[in-house]
Amino acid sequence: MSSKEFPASSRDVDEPAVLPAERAQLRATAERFVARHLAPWRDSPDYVPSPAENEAVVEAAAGAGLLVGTATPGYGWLVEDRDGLDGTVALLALLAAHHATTAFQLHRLALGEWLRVRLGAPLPACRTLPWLPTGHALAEPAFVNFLGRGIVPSPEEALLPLSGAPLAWPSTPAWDQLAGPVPVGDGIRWSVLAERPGAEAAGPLHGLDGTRQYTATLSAREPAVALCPDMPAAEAAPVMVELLGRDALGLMALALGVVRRAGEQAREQAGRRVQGGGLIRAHAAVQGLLAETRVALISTETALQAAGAPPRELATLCRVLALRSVAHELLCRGANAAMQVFGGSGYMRDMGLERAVRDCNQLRACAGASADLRLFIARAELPS
Amino acid sequence: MTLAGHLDPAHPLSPRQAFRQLNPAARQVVGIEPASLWEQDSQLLSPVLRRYRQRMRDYAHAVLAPQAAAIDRRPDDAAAIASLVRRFARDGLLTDFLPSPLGTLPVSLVPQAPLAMAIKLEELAAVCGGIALIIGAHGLGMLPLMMAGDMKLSARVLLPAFVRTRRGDPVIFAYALTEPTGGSDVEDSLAASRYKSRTIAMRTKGGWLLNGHKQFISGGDHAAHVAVFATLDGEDMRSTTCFLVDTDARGYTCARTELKMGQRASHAAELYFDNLFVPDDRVVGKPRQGWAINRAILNVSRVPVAALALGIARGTMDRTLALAASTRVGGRRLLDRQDVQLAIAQMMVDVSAMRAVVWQAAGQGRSLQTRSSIAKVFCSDTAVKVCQDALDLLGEAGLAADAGIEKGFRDARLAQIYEGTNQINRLAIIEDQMEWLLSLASPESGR
Repeated sequence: MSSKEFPASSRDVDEPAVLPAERAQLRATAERFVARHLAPWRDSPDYVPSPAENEAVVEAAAGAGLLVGTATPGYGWLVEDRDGLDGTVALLALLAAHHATTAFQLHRLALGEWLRVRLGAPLPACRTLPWLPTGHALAEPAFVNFLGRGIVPSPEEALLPLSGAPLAWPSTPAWDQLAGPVPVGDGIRWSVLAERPGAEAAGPLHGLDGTRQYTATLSAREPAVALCPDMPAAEAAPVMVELLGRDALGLMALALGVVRRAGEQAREQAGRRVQGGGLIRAHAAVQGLLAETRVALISTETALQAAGAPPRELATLCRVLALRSVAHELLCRGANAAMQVFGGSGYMRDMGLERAVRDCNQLRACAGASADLRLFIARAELPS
Repeated sequence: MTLAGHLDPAHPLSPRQAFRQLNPAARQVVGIEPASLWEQDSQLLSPVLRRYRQRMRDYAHAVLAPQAAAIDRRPDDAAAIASLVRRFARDGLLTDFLPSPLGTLPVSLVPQAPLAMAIKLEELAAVCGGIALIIGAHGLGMLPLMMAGDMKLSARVLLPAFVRTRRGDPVIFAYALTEPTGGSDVEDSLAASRYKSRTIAMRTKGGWLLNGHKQFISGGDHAAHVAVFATLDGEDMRSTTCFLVDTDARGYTCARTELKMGQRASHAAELYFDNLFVPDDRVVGKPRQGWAINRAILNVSRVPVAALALGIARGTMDRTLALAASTRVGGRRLLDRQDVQLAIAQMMVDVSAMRAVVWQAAGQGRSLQTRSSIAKVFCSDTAVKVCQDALDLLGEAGLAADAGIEKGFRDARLAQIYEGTNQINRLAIIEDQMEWLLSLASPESGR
């Protein structure tokens, strides 16, 4: 990974606009990357890349400029251009349609990159993952209070990373650091929480084959390495809000890409498979399944367009999470419907449909499943 | 001790205390049963079934649980699976559904055999859907012999299989219906009327030559005998005939097994028949009787699929409860959160409804198409819902394979597909209800 020094001061939160020419260039870069590195994996859905292959593909993405933009240095390409469906959403969906695991990892690393720049972190650029709360923690009233009112949760609630407390996050092996907010008195110290040599990788996860649940315990003896000067909680909370919002949009875009691919496969199958003397697409039962997939795609595309730019305050985060809570449920139904079109074949790993279902399930459960997101919204909108 | 959001059971306003004030007659009608849902449902059974249910539950935890996760990760571990199947053979789990005098089901349970089998499958599947399918698929493979009522063939095949199996040398059966070009076509009457089977039987001296190809045959790689459905040369699906094929016969090939999403302990095999000779005395029933046998068996086998789905959902719910009771977020147990309690209660509602449907369908005297398909559709759809709800409830914690939650989803998902997709099963309900539905549309109906 290339070494890059960022300015120590916090960067202006307003992102530079991405020009149409830059966007077209980025799209072309992404398409070349996908064709070269991900298309073979898309065409062999039961193949699970080795840890070394996962590392190599992230290096290749970084080398191609997908993680660290060239036009706007320091801003990860995958998180900087949130112009509805034409920008990052389109790129993430394109990547996920080919290989959701890689797309997920690039998304989270790009978020880590964004976080470092957002904080003006004076550290060499490396593969940083952002800490994100689990769904239950997200919906806890004390965490909602932190985001909305800048009140640091008490240590007993352990809703933010604490010394001696265990941390867990999903990832491929292609990462170096986990960074997140540690409470220090009434303020927040954005810190390096874990490094890969000290983290344990547990067994496989449900979907996104190649990801593992990493765990580490934040050292109680050694102080965490700060990414930037300590900041008041009221200043740290908007960073967390934006991080959560960008992650939510990214997860939706990833699942969108997965279901787009599954839907294409289902339509092809419906136009190829014969049953009862005719193509199965003539049956209302199959049309209903195809419709389920289309409804999920159209609804999610509309939601992503409506969501627009990443949220910077609690109210707009609630809007994004509301859209996400519906979109992921629809996308899971869409993936299942696409799989059902294939009958028994869809259940077999070599078709890729069952993988789409598992990937959608995993993306839905990450950083807040639907019920957690809804509780979060209710609690954020209730009076204190 | 109490759960957050609820009164202490010792409080006077708790129903546990308040109901003590009721007179004995009222307490006969309304009661408090401080027992789990599983235990409460056991009380609905006869004492002998109740004991059998407890025995199966204990057996599943003692024998299946230590192996389930490892076999799911390594479904190609033939030695582990073979060892498990030998244990099933010795313990009578591969022969209990056989008719008397071979069946190893306790005599007192024979009159309630379908319900007992549903109970067995629920308990086994609660620990591992794939291992339960090994037993279920074996039973399915034997069903043609029992359904066709050919006593001579049954005596020739089942008796020695029984003896060997009980000695701990399991003789496995499989059921080969699905073809690469026909899954739903061989399960639905209208589709079958337009379908041309790719597995053909040609007459030859003393028997038949089979040529063709079957896929997704559960247990087809381990089976000693496979019930193969084929049409007669030059004829349509009305000529479907069931042949009992020995897998060591020349011309029989198991080409591969599939890598499945779930229920991975039971392998789905791809079988080829190349001029495979089947003697006349291995025709199950009579020539051209195969379609009737097949449709009858689907009516019988859809209830066990429902029971298996119920077991998967039950097991996933149990593991979810254990995690919710032991996981703390924000300084409190998940189980103490009202939203979690609501989600858990909904799982109990779903599992309880599934069990009611399965026990009703398994407890009826005959397997009726409508009831069997209703049980299969309802339980498989609800099982997937319960497992999805569990993933939602636990979030990232439910995604780890080690937690045993995500496996529930993968296992449950197959129940919506095999034994006829749920779409085909819904059409089977309409087919079976045709006369009644048409009567509603007739002018005489007056509406």
